[in-house]
Amino acid sequence: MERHFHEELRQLKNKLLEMSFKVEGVVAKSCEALFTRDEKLALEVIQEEASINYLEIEIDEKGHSFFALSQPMALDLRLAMMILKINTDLERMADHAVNIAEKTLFLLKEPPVPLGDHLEKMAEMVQKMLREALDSFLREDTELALSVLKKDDEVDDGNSNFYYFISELMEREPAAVNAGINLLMISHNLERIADLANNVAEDVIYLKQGREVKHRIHLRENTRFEASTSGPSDA
Amino acid sequence: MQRLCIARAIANRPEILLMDEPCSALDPIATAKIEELIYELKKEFTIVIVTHNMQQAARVSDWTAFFYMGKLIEFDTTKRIFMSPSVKQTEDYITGRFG
Repeated sequence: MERHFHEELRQLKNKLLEMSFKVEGVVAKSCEALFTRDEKLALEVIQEEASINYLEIEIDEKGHSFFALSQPMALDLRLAMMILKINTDLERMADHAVNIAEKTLFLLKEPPVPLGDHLEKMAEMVQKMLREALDSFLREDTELALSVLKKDDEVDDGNSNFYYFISELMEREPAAVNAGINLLMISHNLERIADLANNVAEDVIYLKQGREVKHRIHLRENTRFEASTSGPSDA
Repeated sequence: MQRLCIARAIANRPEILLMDEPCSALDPIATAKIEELIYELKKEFTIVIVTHNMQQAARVSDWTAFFYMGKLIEFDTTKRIFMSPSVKQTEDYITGRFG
């Protein structure tokens, strides 16, 4: 039976999709600004932060009032919870994109340093993870969400490889230290965006299956991880 | 039966419909049907509902009045009453701390 609050839940999900398009946009723009050394694009990312923050608050408020007034249960409850969690994760991703844009502006004042291909490959992988995580939420596709989780290790490896690449560069060329430090922070920002995309994918699995896969807990427990369980003793 | 009573009541096109515990003794499905009917009817009528079911008050109403021992304690939008009431007695009641 369709209840009137189901329409409110659909509207809440649509608001989150609006937020996700904006965040995907600023992440892509911040990467493009970095690799093409485009000051205008970097500034656009920084300017877009305010509207994303505003949208986060709007979704939070609508979500809280939905919980208070509609008392969702089961799938509706999980969806409403996931919307609020993904909302927070998306806003954090936008913060990382802004950090990348700010560091790009700093890098533009420094002589260009060779980047190798580690960082660009990593940025591509992160954007792919984000796009697929958001698609998996839109289509409630757990297979796609699982494929996102598998990519996280590749991004972590990319981050480590880039760290060694830049360390060697800084040892060889002390003049590149300022740029190198900023590039390491950018690499860390990208790695965090991947972690947050991972969170979104984990939330999609919880939404559809009611099964917790965070911290790889499902590998330690074969049964469903119920909300009432206190968790494994070694956790 | 409740739906029949509501149909009889609206036949005269009243301005206000008073529903005193409209879902008492109903199972969850019948309760949901009455609540959806109230949600539809409120577009055309002013509806006053007396209920002891906090969740129901939150789900179907736009404004909520909290009475205790015959005294009006607080009246505000339903959103305000259930999210951040102004009077501590209201907050204690809706959170189950007293009453």
